[in-house]
Amino acid sequence: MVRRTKNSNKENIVVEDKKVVQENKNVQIKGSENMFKLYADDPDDNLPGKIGPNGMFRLLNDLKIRPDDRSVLILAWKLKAATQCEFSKDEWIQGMKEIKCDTMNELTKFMKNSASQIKDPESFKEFYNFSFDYAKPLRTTGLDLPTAIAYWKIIFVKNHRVDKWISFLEKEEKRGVTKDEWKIFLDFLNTVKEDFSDYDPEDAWPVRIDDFVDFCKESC
Amino acid sequence: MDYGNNWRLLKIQITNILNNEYIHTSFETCYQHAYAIVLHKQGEKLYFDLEEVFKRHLIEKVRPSIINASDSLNKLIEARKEFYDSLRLVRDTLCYFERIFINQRRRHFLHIINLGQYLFNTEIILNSNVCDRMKMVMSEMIESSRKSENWEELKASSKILLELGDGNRKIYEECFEKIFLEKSAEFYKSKSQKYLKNGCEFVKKISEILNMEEKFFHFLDPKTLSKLKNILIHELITSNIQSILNMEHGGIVYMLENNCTKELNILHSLIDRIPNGLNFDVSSIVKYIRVRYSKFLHKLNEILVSNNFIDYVESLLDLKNETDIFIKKFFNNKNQLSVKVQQNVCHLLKPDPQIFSLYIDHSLKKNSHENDIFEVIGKAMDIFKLLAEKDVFEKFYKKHLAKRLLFGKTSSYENEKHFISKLKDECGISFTQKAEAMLKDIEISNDLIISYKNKNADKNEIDLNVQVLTKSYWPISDIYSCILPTSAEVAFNKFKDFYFSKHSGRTLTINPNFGFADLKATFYKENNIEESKILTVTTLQMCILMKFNESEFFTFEELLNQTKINEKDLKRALESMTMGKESQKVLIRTGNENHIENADIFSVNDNFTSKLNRVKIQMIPAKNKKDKSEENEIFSKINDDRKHEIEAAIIRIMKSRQKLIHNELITEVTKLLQRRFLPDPMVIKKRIEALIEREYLKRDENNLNLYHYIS
Repeated sequence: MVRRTKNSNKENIVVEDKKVVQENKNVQIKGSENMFKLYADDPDDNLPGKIGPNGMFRLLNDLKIRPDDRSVLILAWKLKAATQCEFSKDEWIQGMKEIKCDTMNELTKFMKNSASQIKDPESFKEFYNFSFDYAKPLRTTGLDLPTAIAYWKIIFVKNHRVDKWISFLEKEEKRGVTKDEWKIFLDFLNTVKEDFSDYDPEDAWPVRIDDFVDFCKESC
Repeated sequence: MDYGNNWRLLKIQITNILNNEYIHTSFETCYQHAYAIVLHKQGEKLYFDLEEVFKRHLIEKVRPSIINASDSLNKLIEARKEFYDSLRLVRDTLCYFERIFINQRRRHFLHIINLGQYLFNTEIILNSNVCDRMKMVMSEMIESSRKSENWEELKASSKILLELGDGNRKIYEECFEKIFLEKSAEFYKSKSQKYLKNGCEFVKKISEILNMEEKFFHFLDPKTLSKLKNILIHELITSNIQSILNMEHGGIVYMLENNCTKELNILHSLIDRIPNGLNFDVSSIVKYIRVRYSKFLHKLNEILVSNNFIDYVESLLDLKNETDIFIKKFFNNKNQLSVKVQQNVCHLLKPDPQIFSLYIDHSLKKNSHENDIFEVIGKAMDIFKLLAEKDVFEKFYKKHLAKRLLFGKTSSYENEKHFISKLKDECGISFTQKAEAMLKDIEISNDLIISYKNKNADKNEIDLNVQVLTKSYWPISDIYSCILPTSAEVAFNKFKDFYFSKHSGRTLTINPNFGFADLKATFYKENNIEESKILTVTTLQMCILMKFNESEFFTFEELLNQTKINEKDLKRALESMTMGKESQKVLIRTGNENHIENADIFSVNDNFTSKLNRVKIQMIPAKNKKDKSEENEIFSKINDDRKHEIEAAIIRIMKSRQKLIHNELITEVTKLLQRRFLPDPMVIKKRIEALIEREYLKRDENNLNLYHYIS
């Protein structure tokens, strides 16, 4: 970024931002910081020093991605974002470094191939657990049901077991989802067979999952 | 040197030795032959030829002799001794060979005696033909010993076989143990079939056989003996136990009905010996008990439904008595069996805690029992011990106690204290702390009133009696306040001043739902006749009636606004004074409907009359709906309390164990709480989840079934 000194009556002296001067050696970071400045400090957002909801909207527009696409969540995970629809400068810079992108083209490519980031089970688990904290408002302990369902829909693309789970939740329970229940649900998907033949209700599964199994057995 | 010649001579010598025949050649000649062979480096050949001779001898001579002998085992021992003796002679004959040739090659060649022993082992002892012969011999021996019941021969033979193996049990097991165990099993099976017709006889005979067999086979090798015992138990007892228990002729039912105590004891001791035998026994006995006392149990259920608590408890006590006598008669009271049967019977009886609390309430009220109340309470404690849900009883008991104390219905404080001490003995302090505190409150209040009256003897217009209750101890729900009549208010305030002079930092609130008042009422009849009565009414009724000093008529709505009494209670109080019996109608109500409405008008019933000077105005007993709701309230409180108790138990257990798997945690919590009530595993699970949410516990990263305590 260029800045002109105030009291110069000479020709306009171009002084570069201190930070940029220091990091000038590393070409990559320069790029991501520029990217950040494109979307941060959006006047509609009123979040100084951050990319806010409106900035995000513009960003996603430029990336040609819908806001409820899973790749957005994966990006947030990679950036270790703390709050929904917000990216702080540090998160952005570190995150771009992590995913090795510093141009919009590279970022677009990343978003297209985001599914590869969560292909192996370990990463998927990390990503999944991250989503709960990301979705949850700061002062509460649990996640309200509609939000949880929305996130489950985003994370599990075309998984009919999850669809059954969601239809169960919509029918029966109106309670929120605790972190424990969120986490255990993934273990449940991964370890229990689809026909529940190896499911033992006397194990430590949360009561909600016991109810879900009963629900499936009755309705099938 | 001609090896062949040398060897030929040696061979003859050796063969003669082995056959126990006369030795022709001299020792020195043999020595020289052997020397020559070794010198010419033919030692190895000599060795293998020697081995061959031994083998031939064993295979062609020794083996058949053993197999064809009638007493093969002894023949074998004999042959071995002979052979070993021969070996020594052979070794002496070839001592040069051994000393020079074999000694120097110890890694590759065995010494002659060892060679011989090794060959004897392989060619004779381990030979399969010999083995088969042995098996046959032993088999016959076992059968004949069984018939003659003389085990001496078997004893000796089995010892020999064991020793033959020289540490290796294989021969012993193959030739003896396996056969012996098989044959014994068959024998026991046939015996048990024979006696299986009648249970009593079977039991006696079988235990005889058991004892005999164990005595007989004392001499056996311990491993074999223990295997035999297992077979005994399995064949005689385990396979037959179900049929015995269920048998019609002489089965357990027969034994119990006909007091066959001796047979029963034998049966129990037999069952004791099989794994899980106790469960078999217990379940069939309990089944029998259930059948035997089915009439009682049926009657008990009927009474339960009719809510007649006195009959219920007395029938329960009768039934318990019966079952106690029964158990005492047939089971030695101390052993595990009787304990388990007792436990199961308790489950069977399953006393209802709520009805029982009604019984206790009734017993402790005035004028209820001429009998010795202590005796009644003592018997009642027997039932208390059987209760599965003691916390339900606790809640109801406290509620009844409060009512008794506040309405003066208790027979005596002594009796209350006696019952509480019995509870304390049984359950510990936590159960009775509040009850004792309630009693103390009443006692303190009584003293307080005495000192108050002494202080303000003549200043009082109204004779006031106050009971001061400590809120936390009493099971009294929300207090609705109301506006008291002025005179009452003044008297109450005077008392308040007195109280606060003694205690600071407390607040006093009057509870208009309890307490009663004596009002002097004057009814103005025709002809200017006045009829005065003293009415005993509740506090609420007092507030209402005193209003009629201010005005003649009041609508319901006006009363509601001016007394600020809770609407439900107001309606109830008014109903009791207007819609009950004639002897209770001190007010007139003008209204259209069957129930009180806002516009209804109330006034004093001047036509009220009574023969008595003092009239007690009852509160209409609450309609069923209210009763149910009160009951439901109590049960929901019980559920809440249980949730807390379960959580406290979980935390206690996890704190001491730090980590525990799910099933064990459930078991431990159940064990901890079972003296008060039986927690439902699903409820425990929900509490665990709640505690995880509140970060008292957490799940293990790798094992979903494992919990960790978070300190």
